[in-house]
Amino acid sequence: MEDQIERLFQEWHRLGAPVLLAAADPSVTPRPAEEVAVETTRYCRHSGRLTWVVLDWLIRHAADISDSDLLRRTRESGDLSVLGVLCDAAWQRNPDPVFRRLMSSCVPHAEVVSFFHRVAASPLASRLARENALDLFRRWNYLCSELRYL
Amino acid sequence: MDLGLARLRLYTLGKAEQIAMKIVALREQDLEDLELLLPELLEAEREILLRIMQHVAPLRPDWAQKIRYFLDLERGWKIK
Repeated sequence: MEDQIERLFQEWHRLGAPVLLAAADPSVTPRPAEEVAVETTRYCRHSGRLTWVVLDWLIRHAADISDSDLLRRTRESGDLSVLGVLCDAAWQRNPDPVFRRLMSSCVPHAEVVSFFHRVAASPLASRLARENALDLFRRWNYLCSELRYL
Repeated sequence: MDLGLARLRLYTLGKAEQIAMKIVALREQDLEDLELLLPELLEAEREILLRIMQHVAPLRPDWAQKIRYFLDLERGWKIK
């Protein structure tokens, strides 16, 4: 999993996201941003840093996003509840209609859980996340007390 | 750090200080960093971390309690 997340950081760096890398890997094959975003929705809950990077990219590239393509791909192989969180958070900073359209097709997680898996694994961190859960995450059935805009 | 400067006093953060700050913050990325930092902590650095916890206790009992709880109950340290 660490390898996949590292590759996603490389891809976001190539797509212009503010990623601090030890070294850029020239062998990373370019992919459409929508494809990288869909894969990222599967890994956001494993990495806060990855979540804030893709969120920043979405905010800055709303005009470049093909919402129909992103939705179709996310339904096939991504996570619609995580995409909902990302679009909701992006909307707070950049109220572009594309985020509203995307959110209207996203679905909350099936049950209320901690957003980040590491937080869920720590009794102290999960208690704090539950006590200070942000409404934005609650809308998507997640508990999370942190939201970072880069 | 003593660099012979007249007006500046420089301090460096060691691993124990970083760990203490990350436990207090306890964001997802801090938990990720703690996974890397805690296993490589030397015995001497472990003692420093416990001293930091005791040092901050009168100033920020909530921070000290957080550090104690995390190390004791989640990481299995036997803190007296």
